[in-house]
Amino acid sequence: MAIDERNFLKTIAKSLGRTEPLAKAPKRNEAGPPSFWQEQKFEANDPFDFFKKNLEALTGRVELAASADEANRIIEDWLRELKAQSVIMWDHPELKKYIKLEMSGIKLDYWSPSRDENQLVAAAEQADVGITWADYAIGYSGTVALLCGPGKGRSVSLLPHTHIAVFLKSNLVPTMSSIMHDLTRFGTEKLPSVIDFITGPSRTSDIEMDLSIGVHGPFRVWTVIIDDQ
Amino acid sequence: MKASIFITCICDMFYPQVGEAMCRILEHSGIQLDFPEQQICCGQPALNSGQWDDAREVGRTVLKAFKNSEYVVAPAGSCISAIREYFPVLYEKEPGNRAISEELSAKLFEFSEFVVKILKIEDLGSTLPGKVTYHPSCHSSRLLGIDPYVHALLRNVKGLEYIELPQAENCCGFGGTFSVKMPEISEAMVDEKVTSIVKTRADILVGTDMSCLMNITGRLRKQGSSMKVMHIAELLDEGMNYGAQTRLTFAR
Amino acid sequence: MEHRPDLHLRDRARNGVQDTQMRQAIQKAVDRLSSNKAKAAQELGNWDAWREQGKRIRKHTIENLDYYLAQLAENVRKSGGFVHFVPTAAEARQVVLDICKKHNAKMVIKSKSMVSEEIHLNPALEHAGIEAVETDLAEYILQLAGEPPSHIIVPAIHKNRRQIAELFSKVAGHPVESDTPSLTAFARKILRKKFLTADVGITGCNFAVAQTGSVTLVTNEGNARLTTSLPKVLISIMGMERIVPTFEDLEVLLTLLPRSATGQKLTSYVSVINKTRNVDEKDGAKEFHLLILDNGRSRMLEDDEFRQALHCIRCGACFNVCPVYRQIGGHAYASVYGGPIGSVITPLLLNDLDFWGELAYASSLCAACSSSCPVKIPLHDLLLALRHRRAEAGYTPFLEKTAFNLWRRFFKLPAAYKFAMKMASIGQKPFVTNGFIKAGPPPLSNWTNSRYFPALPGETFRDRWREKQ
Repeated sequence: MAIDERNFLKTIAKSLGRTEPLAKAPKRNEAGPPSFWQEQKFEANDPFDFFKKNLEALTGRVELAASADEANRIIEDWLRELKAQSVIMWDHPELKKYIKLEMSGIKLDYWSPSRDENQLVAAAEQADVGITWADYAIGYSGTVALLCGPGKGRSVSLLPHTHIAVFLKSNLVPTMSSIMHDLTRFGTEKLPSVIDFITGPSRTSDIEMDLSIGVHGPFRVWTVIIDDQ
Repeated sequence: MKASIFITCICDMFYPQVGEAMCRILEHSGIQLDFPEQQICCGQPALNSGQWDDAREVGRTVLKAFKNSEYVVAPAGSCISAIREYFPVLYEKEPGNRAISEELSAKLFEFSEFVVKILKIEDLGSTLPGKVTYHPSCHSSRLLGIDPYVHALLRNVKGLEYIELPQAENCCGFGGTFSVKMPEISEAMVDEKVTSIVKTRADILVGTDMSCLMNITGRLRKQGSSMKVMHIAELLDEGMNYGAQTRLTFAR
Repeated sequence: MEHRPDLHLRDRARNGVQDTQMRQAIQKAVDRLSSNKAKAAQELGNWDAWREQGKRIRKHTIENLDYYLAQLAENVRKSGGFVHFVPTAAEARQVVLDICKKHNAKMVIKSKSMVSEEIHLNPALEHAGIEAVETDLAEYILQLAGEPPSHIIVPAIHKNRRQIAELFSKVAGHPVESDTPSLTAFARKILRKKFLTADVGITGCNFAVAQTGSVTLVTNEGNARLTTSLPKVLISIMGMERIVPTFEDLEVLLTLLPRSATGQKLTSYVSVINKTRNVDEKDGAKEFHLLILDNGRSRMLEDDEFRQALHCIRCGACFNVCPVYRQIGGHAYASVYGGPIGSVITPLLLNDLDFWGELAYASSLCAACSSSCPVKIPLHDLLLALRHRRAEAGYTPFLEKTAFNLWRRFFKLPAAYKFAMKMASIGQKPFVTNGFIKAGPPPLSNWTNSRYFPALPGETFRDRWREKQ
């Protein structure tokens, strides 16, 4: 431990009435959310409706697809609606299993680990739409949780004007608790470099409390949920 | 049942009629009242200015006065919250006085709390036609939680129409010495409060603490408003004598 | 040394009160924010139980801060990050400058960070020839205006759209329309260029997670995500108290913070940054530095009472319900941290009960702040405790001390009190009209300038009681 750290922690310890910094984990009575939160049953019967209601309240769109084909059709319709000319997509096996957009007229880039990073950022910056997978979606808040990694760049859900997230109905969880529980079980080494919880589009009320959508991040967050249940 | 009156310095000095109204109501409800003369002030002005030695000395008048009381009733909530929350801290180093203040806290009640919670009375047979709006004093409302008692009493006054005061929870700007130490801020606060009160077009403004009501009345009158301002005891008392020509209306 | 304004609190407050436009803007903002918070708390249900849990977690963490900071540092280092323990603002600035110098940084982008303002980072960067760009929309506006923030959550609320359009037009070199979409689009365009070319990104830290060495950023605009995704070097500066033990605890604070700040269930972006990019990742920082700052916080830790102020999660709820803040605005506090929480921590962090201790009097002790705090910090008690400390330290003005001395003499004995009442009844006579004193001598004039003062009725309650017997 560096000298500056040792002195720093010693100062804290002294302020707390200790001669040495606490080395052993302190006992805790209760950690995490209140117990009633774990026991509460949230729309256990229809997590999809729960998620749809909450994300749509934030101007998001939510569509349920019965199959991979239908998911593709929904996205193609959206691309037409947006008059999108270029798309950047996570280079991610699960996503690519369901979504295949190699079609004429659309410039399609994959956030591929083999490509040059400057080119990838430039491609994302120029893309109209970014498409990602979501490892989890939270019904209670209308949130998609993106675990970043090789092939799963942050820029894809951040630089284009529209972010489309695709996931399975079975990825839907009622609250953040399930995700936190899983992440804790991962262990620190296996954690992704970043977890992005995304709840609707970029926004601000900084100008006279007047809501503005699409400040620095996407204007639109649309989701396709594939019914695997 | 016996109870001692804790008049509180503001009512003693400026609003004796509030104390009298309170006494009439309590006696009418069968309470035997006394008034221990040693009481002067709970010391809150000095407490809030950080002058705790002065606060301690003056606060002892209250500790002395109510030692033998069964119940103590006050026409103000702010003084009670000062006693409950801070006397234990003020008298930390005086175990005897600390114990007395804890005993006092347990038997000390704000007027509307005493009537509703202890006497279990919500209807005093008052009649007072008119529109009333209520300013919930900060300490009484937030620290003592007496709003439900006030509402219970007002609800049972026949002919009284209740109008909710918008943003009622905003402080009126009195804050004791704050009103003279930071007068510009205090003025801005009482101005906003009075504007919202006047907008209700109520006939009467009612409250539980004359400190706040003194502040609000002062601004109302300066702005030319003649809206009646009454302590809850005065309102109930006038209502209990409604029709009898002996009551003076409150020119304040 | 912290810059001291020329004016004392009362004068600064007066200036605030006289700025009608600012007051209206602030009142509109705080009324909306506090109403949104109330709705969100109601929707969640059991709000008090959540607050209690938030309080427990913060209390436990602060009381064991030495343990959790050590755990945090160990985990950040294990993940390949650098940790700098910086006792003072000056050392913090130096560390940031050294990192920037090492990477030949010409331009750094910043996401909103109050702690970076606390350490006066931007002037130091500018002085070293490094362009520092604020990317949070409000902070960008303030940077252009050369002004400090006036609110924790909506820092530029005191600026109207015309003023903002003027600032943007100057940058653009041509008029920018003052409608919200045009203003936002302009900022997006200008700042997007900065995001793509910045050498270093600097953020604050809403919550560090000790168990995993993570830094959590809670935002709405997307600028924090861009700041942490595009530049190769990332510096996060945290006040040492901005930490939670585990992800489970993080969830509690993520439940309390957005609802308390803006009434949202969650902000648009909650980024939990666990480490620098993996070897096959193509964005995210390659090098990460965490600065853990003391700057007076350990002094607050020493005191059982004031330690509670370190529980703060910087939600701004206390600002939104403060009856004083809505009249004087944020600049009157003259500190990075204003409002009720700022009135408590500023004198303590700066170790100045005299000048900065005046802030303890920017309050009527109404306790709205304590009632609204999502982690139950008893702010009104702390303000009172500060006043006591200040008086004990001898900073009470002489006239005030004398006044209370006098008051005590007359209010400690019934006989003296009765005498004082008799004298006052007589003495007030020349000033009384229609039962009121409408103009009094100082200090009563502080009251009568804006209100009538009641005349003593001549008889006290105790006089009448005795008569009745």
